Amino acid sequence: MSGEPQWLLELRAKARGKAHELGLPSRKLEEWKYTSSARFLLEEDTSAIGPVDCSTFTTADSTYPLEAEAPFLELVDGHPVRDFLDLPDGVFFGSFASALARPDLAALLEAKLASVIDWNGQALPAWNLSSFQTGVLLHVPAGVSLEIPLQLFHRQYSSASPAWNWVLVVLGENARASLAEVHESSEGMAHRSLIVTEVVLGANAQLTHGRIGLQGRGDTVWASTAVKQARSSNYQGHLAQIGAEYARIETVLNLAETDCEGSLKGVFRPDADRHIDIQTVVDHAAPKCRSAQTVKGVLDGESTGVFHGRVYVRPGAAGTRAQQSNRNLLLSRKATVHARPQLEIENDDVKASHGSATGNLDEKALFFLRARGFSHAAARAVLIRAFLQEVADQMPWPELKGRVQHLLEGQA
Amino acid sequence: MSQTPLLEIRNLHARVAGVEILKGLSLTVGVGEIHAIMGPNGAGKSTLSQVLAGHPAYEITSGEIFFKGKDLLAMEPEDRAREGVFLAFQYPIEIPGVSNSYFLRTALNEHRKYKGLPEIDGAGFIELVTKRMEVLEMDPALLTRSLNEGFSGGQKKRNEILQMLVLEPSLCLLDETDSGLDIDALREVSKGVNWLRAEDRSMILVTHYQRLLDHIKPDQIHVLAKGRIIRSGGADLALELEKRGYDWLLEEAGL
Repeated sequence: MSGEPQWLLELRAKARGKAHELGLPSRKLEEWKYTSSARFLLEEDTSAIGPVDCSTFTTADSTYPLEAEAPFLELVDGHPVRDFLDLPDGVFFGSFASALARPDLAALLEAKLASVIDWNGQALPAWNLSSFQTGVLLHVPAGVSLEIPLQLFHRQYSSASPAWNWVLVVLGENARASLAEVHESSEGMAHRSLIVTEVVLGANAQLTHGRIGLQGRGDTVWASTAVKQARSSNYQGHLAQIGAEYARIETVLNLAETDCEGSLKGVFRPDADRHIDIQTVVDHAAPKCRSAQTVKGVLDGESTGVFHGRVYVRPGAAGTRAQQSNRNLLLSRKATVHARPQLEIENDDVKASHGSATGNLDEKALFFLRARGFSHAAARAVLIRAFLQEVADQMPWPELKGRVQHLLEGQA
Repeated sequence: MSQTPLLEIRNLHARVAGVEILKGLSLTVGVGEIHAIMGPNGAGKSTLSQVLAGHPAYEITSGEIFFKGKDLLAMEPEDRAREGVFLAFQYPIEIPGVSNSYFLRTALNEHRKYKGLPEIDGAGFIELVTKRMEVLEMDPALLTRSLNEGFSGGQKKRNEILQMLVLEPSLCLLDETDSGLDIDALREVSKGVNWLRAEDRSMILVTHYQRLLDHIKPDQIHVLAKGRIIRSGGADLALELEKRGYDWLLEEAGL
């Protein structure tokens, strides 16, 4: 952004210093054992880029919204297509540049930006903070229920440089909203993107949030969501990672105050020699919070999947209920999945469960379907659909869900 | 009879996991005929059903099967089904997450596509399937539930027959469909099977018991033992088996 305020320039400089100091995470770290952080950040990125002038908008607006009724913003190759949307009840959904032009929103940005994600301890968020080209702010004021779902498209058509996007979602007390972030890119290129989404939920606020990865099959993607929840707030996350050659999708839920609810339903679907790494952290820092995670992988070809889910229950978090499950379906003998569900409980008064299971397609069911006239491919699609039902069916955006299901079932 | 038989099995040998189960089985089923296959446990009755449906675990070591004059063994399981071979499974599969109606409609449309017919739409399908469920006195609520999930044994078997009534195959293979059924369920299943009887449709009933044959009258009865058919006869053979068991036949066959 040109003409960034002093506080942002200082924050970026601090982040740049932190990024250099931290260095990229090594494979010795448990959470980076199977994925190379060097794939996401190349040497040239660290020297060449800095705050970019994004006052010139791209004209690529030929794409379509997935939910016909849902208002959307679009970032193409890291540049916004529109500055902001006109929404009722004081809801703001637009670029940081346009938010900074309004004193109330500028103050909000200064207070909340980089307040959730751990950029002091992790290099990739620090790099993103120092380098993001475009920021998008969604602010829903206290007491406002936004009935229409919003969409944000991260799109890439040119492979020249990575897209660095930063999204900040702030919901005031008792506010409600639904935001689907959809990642898309042209096929046949090797785009790179590094995307951070921070979510700040006020007391009793409720966000339904999607991160749907439909990138081209040559892309490298790192996307990280960090959520901080105030008292009695509710976060419903939906993940689907289908595209990209090499992807790591992180979600961190910080249940910071009492009576919060955090839910995450995720699915990943690599094939060929693609690699998808799903990382989740649910941090029960306060009493009486509930969390539920269900992540399912369907892997084909010689692909690799990683699921590393961590649940922490802190000493003061009495009355916690935490559930985590990971199930994987291997469609091929050469596909590999590394699953590591992890619970760390520092409190007695807790109900927690976790588990992981990996299996193959049920040969009996496959034969039964073929004996009823289903082609081998159709029978497989039906069984994949059945396997994913409890996660993919729960997506609250009907058109997006339809498209995602189609892709998950392995249909073109 | 100058007409080509619907099914002709010639000197079939088949094994599973390296063990030979069928040892020279031959059987001819004419168009419109109903055959019952009976025999002691381990005779190869279920293997025969699975082999006809094309289960990949069974290896055919020699012999031939012609269905409507075509080489059945060269066909994939789905093509056998679309050509009109239907196996009602002895142990119907549960598939959680797939609704019965979605499954049935997709199966029907796969058959229609194969025959070059247009796909049936939602309304047309519901009308068809509702009528077929009435024949079997099935609860329409079973349509919206996951395929066989939580169904009772009798409901599962009825569901197999429902699929048969919807797909209208030319060869119905009933693999011990009567086992585990109470009298009422047996009567309803039999009603469904009889409803489907037609001049151009043949059936093979694989069963342990005479009681199914009280409801569905076969044209011929075969006794399968040690992987071969050792005796064929009319309806009176079943009654004789009911009285005398299989031992006398095994002795006569020198087994």
